[in-house]
Amino acid sequence: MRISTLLFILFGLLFSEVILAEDKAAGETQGVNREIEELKNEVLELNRDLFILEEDLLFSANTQMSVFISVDVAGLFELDSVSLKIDDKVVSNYLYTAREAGSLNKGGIQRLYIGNLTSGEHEITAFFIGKGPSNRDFKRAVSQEIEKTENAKFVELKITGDISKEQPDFIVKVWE
Amino acid sequence: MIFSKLNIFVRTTVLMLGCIISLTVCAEEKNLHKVEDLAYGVSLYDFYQGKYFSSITDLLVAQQKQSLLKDKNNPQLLLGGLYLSYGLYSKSSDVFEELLASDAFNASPEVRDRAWYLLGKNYYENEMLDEAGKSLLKVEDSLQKKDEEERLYWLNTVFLKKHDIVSAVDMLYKMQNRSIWRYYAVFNTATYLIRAETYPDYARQLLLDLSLIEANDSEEKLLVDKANLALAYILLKNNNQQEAIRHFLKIRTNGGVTSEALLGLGWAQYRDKNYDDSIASWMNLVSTQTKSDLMVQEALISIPYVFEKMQDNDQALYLYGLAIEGYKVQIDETKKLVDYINSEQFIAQISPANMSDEVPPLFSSVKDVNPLMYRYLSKFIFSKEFNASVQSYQQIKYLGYKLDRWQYSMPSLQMMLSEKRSTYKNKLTKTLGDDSLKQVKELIARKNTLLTKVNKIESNENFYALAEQKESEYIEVLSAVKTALVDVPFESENSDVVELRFKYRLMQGLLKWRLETEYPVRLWQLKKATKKLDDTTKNMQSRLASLKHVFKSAPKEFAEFDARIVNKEEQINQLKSRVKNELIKQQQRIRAAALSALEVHRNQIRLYHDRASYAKARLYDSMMMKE
Repeated sequence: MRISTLLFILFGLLFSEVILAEDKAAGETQGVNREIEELKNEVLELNRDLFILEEDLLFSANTQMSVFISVDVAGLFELDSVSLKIDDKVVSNYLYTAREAGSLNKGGIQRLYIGNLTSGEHEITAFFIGKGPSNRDFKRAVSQEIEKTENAKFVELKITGDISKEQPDFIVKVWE
Repeated sequence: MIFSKLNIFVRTTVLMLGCIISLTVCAEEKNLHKVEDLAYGVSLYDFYQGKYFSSITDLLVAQQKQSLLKDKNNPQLLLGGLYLSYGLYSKSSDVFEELLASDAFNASPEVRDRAWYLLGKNYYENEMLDEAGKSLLKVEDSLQKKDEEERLYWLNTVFLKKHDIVSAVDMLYKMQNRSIWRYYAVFNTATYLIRAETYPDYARQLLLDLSLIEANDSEEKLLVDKANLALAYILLKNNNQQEAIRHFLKIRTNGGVTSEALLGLGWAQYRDKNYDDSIASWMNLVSTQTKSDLMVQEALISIPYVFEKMQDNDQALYLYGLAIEGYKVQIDETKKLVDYINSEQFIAQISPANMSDEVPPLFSSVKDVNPLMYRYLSKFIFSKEFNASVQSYQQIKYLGYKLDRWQYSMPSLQMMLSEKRSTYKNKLTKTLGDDSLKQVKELIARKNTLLTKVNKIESNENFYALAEQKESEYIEVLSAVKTALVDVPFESENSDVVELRFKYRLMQGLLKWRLETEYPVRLWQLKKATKKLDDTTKNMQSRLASLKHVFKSAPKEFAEFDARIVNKEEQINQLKSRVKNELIKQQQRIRAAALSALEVHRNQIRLYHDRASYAKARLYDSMMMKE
């Protein structure tokens, strides 16, 4: 009698374990209630509005200049840091964590810099530091003259891979 | 030992918590390095780092600013997936439903299949099983193999929850043999059938098949162990001790279900009247597994029970005493854990170490967790529910951090606005003052005169008008010579005059030829210069117009900015107060869940304690009576 009772308890314990396994497989969060959902959503919308407000206030459309960085190197270059100069003045120095570099390698684009620039000609220079082919230290600079008009300017620094040369390639692309 | 066991739980939990995240990542993998839309790429940058809040904000900002120029379906698909991963189920449904309703969207089968799939997941999370099943079934054939396996797994789960055994089993046959998703589906189907007490032979066969797979990693090995354990207990329940022992012995001694296996093995041996072996199995369990494990507690009371059966009453009495002492220690320790859970230290432990960290590590992977938590609540702290609650708490904390940050930024924004105002007053009024405007107007008038002059020259082909300074001087000289020659009387005509006339005609012809020849080039150069001048003045006019526009619209814009800032400040304050309340509520929920899980454990120990005390008293009485 006693053993049967114990077996019953153990059987229950075992299948509570089974249920646990099933629940684990059920995936993503389930317990977030409606109240939290609404709160998250409202803060997200406020964050969006404030983000736009800040940008509108600090960087007017006619003076705004943004620099982005993207990576498509197929294992030819591992980015460690970037230094950005506009008209010979350093405006950004960025050191990448493994997670950030990984995110760029997967196809993410980082907004490296946003600022104001007067209309006219400017020179943009970027210095890339990282590991090149065969894990060798690799430094490269790329420079380009850009014409700032009365519209917002978007510049993309693209790190691409030249498979035939087995070398990374650095391009400045100006977005219209 | 305990840590190797916990690691398996960690891996399993992390794998499952990361489920949706990986799904969405897969959605984008095909598009790697093809992203041409900066705003979409920026959102992906945050998404790949697990920063859902930032990634959603990026997309919402881009939507608001209409800067998502290309890949219009992919950003929406990403947004829906992000909402789902961030726990905003109704927003996620809205996005997917809207996407699937659009005509343009249906043109891409890959994106459409993924949307149906994610929508199905969303419905499942909301316990809308019918809708989940329908959406998952609408997926056609463009999912990647790995995702297709996962879809079939979810369909199997949905059908089991709807008690549709035939359809659930049908999914098993559609899955690939060596897929982890199939293994989970097989295990879940078998345990469902056992609990429902239906098709027992088929359930046993499923478990037997699973127990025989070639397990390559810890996750698969754990599933094999669980299959063997389930089979062994079923056999034990059916009084087939020998077969049960065979399956218990297949379970690893350092796996996730070792305690349960050793306990069951002991009972199987006991039933087989093999008392020494059963004691050995339980002693092994007590000596190798963590003391707080309920299986160990069960073994502590079972060992003296077998000694009693073997008529070794002294030993049984002694071991009952040891077990009682052990239970008392456990009860005292769990009391300390209750105090800890009620303290602020517990809340500090579930809070992110760095407030600005948008992706804090899972609680179960934090290294300095209170040892008592590991000892008594290991299953609880590795459970999906607890980790989801802590994650939710951390997300609310992050919302609070963001609101604090914006609140601190408001004075800066106001300062920026007042700077703009003062710039407007000082510079713009000067720039657009009477003198400047007069100068610009004069320049434009002069440019217009010049243009008219050039046009006239061109229409009259007046090449003399384009003479250079030296040439103009020659023209004047020749003109003077001509006048002088006209004035020479006929009778005064001599060879010198004739020569002079000849030279005059020669020079005149030469000059005319030169001016005529150079005229097209000079006219082109002049027109080029006037075009440049025209462009410059147009540019100047455009800037002037822009400045005038700014001058006119600035006060209105400033007022709008003012209103936006004031409005947002109010919103920040309101939301901060709600975040504060929600944090308190969430702390209470987490505490209550932890205490409830602990109470189950404590009650079980109390029960063992009472049973051991009763058994000891009973044995003591019987021994006394014999004496």
